[in-house]
Amino acid sequence: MDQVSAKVKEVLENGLEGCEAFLDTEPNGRVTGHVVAREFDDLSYEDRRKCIRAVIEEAVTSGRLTREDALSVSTLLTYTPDEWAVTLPDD
Amino acid sequence: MIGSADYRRAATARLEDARMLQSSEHWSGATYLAGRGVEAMLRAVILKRSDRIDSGHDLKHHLKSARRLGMLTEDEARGGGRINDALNELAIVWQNNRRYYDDRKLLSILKRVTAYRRIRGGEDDFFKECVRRILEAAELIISRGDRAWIR
Repeated sequence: MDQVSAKVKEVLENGLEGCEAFLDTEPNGRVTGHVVAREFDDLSYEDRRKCIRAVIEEAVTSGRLTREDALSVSTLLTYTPDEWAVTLPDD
Repeated sequence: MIGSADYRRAATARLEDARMLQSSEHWSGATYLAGRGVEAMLRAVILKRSDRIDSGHDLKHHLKSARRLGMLTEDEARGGGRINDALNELAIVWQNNRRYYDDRKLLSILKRVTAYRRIRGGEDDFFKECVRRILEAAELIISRGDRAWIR
């Protein structure tokens, strides 16, 4: 994990309730990955994205992320803990 | 040669593209790319566990293959759960030839979908809500597919 994805991970895990983020940086510098959070329970995917955007925006405002860091955040797939822990046949 | 990891990356990229088009109210483009993203993720899951893939664009057919390869829970494999609802919804509104559809033509398709008939408001509200539901359905399938892919 590079420095930017490590910073974004820390921001998300501190900013969202019951959150664990698994992030990578693609060769093109975009941060992608999975965000699992209790805060997403009963939220639509659209609202989960809004939560993430709000947390990242707040981190930019408070100086924990630069605007450039924030713009590098690309597709983050979101899961509630139950969705993440789903039992699939080969598990 | 496009491999499983390429399809996986394409799925999330097309979903992101669809969300951007949704935010600028480009409805037909958002719908088309959401379906493309789902197709890409189903192909990613299939190719991760099999060396053969159908070259067609039928989402239900691809899901049938993905189901055999462990993408669904036992209940979902019997037809239950939100993921089947999501796929049924997408299979109605998305086909590969939708890339040639403009908003007017897409609207004529959406208005024939039973589940959308209860949406109230003018044309803009109708499009907004239909596309919101379509992208939510797409994201559900792509997220599950990705979960199955990484395990």
